[in-house]
Amino acid sequence: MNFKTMKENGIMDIRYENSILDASNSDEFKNDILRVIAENKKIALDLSEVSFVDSSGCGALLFCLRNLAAKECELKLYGVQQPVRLLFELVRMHRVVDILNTREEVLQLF
Amino acid sequence: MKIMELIVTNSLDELENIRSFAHKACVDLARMVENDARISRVELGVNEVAVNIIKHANRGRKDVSFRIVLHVSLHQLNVEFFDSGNRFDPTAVSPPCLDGSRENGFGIFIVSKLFDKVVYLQNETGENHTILTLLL
Repeated sequence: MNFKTMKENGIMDIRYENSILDASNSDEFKNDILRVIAENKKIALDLSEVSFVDSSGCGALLFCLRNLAAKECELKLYGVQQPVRLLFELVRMHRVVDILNTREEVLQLF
Repeated sequence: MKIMELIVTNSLDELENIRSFAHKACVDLARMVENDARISRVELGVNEVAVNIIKHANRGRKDVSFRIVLHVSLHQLNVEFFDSGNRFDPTAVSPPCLDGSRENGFGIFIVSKLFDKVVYLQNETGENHTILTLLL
């Protein structure tokens, strides 16, 4: 599993420890993150190690978002690198999920 | 005209290799510097077309391959894909849902936004030919 987790003040901070989230590993991401986010209401997903995301990776993040929303849980993303921001802007991810620069900003918003 | 060519097995495991090829071609042929945002655009667009070929045109078959040719002239960079899979009809693709309600259907939309021109052809032998053009 490519996730490192830390829970503090009721917020589950998850760092995705892989530089790639694409069609080759997006199914694995979806399976693994469901186990990680279980029973948590507030999730902060750190993407600072991710240098490439494609449309399948984006779909995996939307899957995660929808899964959490169905359980009335919240997801926020942070640490998004510039090449990944390019994709997020194209598919308007900022309209469906909060995308912040730092963990501190996430903590303030929750 | 400067040309680079790559022939890859029809596998999602090749995506990183395909992106590296696109990156190297941008730097070596188009003389883009490493932090040039256009490299990310080319890598992402090439990745999206490759995924479509692997998953949809060739239906995930690992016993076939496809070819990518990247060439650069003075004013444009072209990436050409040649595959022998099922024909792709771009007019049959629905516009993407950008409200978070769907997890797929973004690929063709993304490619159209990243490149100045996108052409899908089928040649006389039935081979699919996709051409992406980025003006330099």
